[in-house]
Amino acid sequence: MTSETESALERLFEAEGKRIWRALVAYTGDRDVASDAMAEAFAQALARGDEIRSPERWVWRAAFRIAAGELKSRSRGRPLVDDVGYEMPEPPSDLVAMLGKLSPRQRAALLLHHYAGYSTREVGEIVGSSAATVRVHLSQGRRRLKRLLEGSGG
Amino acid sequence: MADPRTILRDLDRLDTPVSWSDVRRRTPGPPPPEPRRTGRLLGIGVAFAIAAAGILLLVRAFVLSPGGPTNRGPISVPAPPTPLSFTSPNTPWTFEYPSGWSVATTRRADPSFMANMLRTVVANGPLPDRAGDFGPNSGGDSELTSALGDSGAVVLVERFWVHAAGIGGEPRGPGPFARDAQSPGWTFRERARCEGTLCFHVIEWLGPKVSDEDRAAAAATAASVRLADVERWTETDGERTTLHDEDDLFTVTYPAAWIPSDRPINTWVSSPREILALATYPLRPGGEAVTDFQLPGNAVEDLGPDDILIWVSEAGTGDGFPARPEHLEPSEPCDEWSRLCPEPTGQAVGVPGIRAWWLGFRDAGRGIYVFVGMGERAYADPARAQLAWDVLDSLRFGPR
Repeated sequence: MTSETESALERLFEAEGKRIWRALVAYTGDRDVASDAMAEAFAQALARGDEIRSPERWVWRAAFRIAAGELKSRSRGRPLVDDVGYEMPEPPSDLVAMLGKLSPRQRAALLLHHYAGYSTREVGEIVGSSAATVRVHLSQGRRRLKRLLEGSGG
Repeated sequence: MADPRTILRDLDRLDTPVSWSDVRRRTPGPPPPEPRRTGRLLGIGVAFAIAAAGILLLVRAFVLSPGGPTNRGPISVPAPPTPLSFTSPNTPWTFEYPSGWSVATTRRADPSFMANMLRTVVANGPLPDRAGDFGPNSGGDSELTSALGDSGAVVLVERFWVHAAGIGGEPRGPGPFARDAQSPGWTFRERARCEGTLCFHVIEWLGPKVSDEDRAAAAATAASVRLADVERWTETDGERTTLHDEDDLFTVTYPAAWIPSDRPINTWVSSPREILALATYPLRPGGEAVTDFQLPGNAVEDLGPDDILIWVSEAGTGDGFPARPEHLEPSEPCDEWSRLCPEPTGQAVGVPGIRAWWLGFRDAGRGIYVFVGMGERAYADPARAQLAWDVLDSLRFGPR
């Protein structure tokens, strides 16, 4: 890997790292999983170096896939956001808790589309489904989030 | 509810504990797992497997067991039928159905119709020629039910459409089974699916002596119907065409002879992002910037005296944009940029002989820019100019 590529990845980390981590926290409800997934995604990007043509999208995709896999193996049968309240400042913990009541696919679709700014087609590539399916998850996720926000007075 | 972007912006208050040196120190593990897209097929397969298992239990309970336990030797378990996947360039839906069943698609559209129809019929027997003409409780539907007999099972996937209909609708059903008054003994139930800009209906329609296996197969088929992975879908009655854009979530209706571009024609600017380029003539992408580098150069240069060009782009949530006016046509006053002024000039585009308007408005939480270019003869002909205003008024946007 060239030092140019490494510098580019470092710049990407500075520019996007916080947003990726926040999206992962909202997706997993677990800061440790989020930290681990993001660091691993960037570490893998570093290892691949020049093989990656679009590092930004690659890192988002890798981080979400790593987080999804980690979540599956860590928290079978455990509520998604059972211990976030004391770790996060209010009100993001409420928001994360509400997102935790959505299905993982609805959550990923909302975060990648509305927070990360990816098109539905790109979200489909990241989560491994069609753009049409992503739109369904987005629509259902928005409706569910709306009901949850109304229920919380938000 | 506030815009989801606004709600999720609250996440920006969280601060990450991960630093670049953490990344540098880390030894990467194996590549991240690739997501699988087998969920849908797996679900359908499971549905068919459950149906087959149910039949097997019934057979064992009522056919094999009356005499009490006997040594009959091993029972061979039939493999569940392998579902086939239906996709077609002629329909915006896709579904799984049992092998051996018949499928036909019928389209009925004409400018004189109140509503146009697209229908796919799936049945457990051979379909008569006019199968697509019939639905439950419709006059003459016995032509189909008689052809299939009392053990018939039918699934209809259908969409009745009119031009410039609003976007939206809620999925519903399936409701309870109801009697088909036209075909004694037959029953049906209906559900609605709405995805993206499109809604369609799915009907299970069953004969009085339908087998449990076919009843379950019809239910599994109906449950499997989804919007196909279409980026754009057009519906035409030969006079007008309605384009559904499932990526950018809008619909627009235009004269059938007009031509939408299938790719961005402005190669200079990516924000605002072009979502529609539509004209009375073929649109060439690219070109040098004219006066305004946001304009599609070649398309503007190609615009002839009788031609009309409509070019739509999108910028964020439309904060600060005026609300969409009731009608998008030249009117007084034109003091807001959501309104078209009566007497535009070609100065804005720098090409003589072109009348041009720029406008912007907010619709469905989206910021929309519209450019209208018109040749002098088109502008001088009120009926032709009206075509452009009708196209603008037909634009319907869904929330992102």
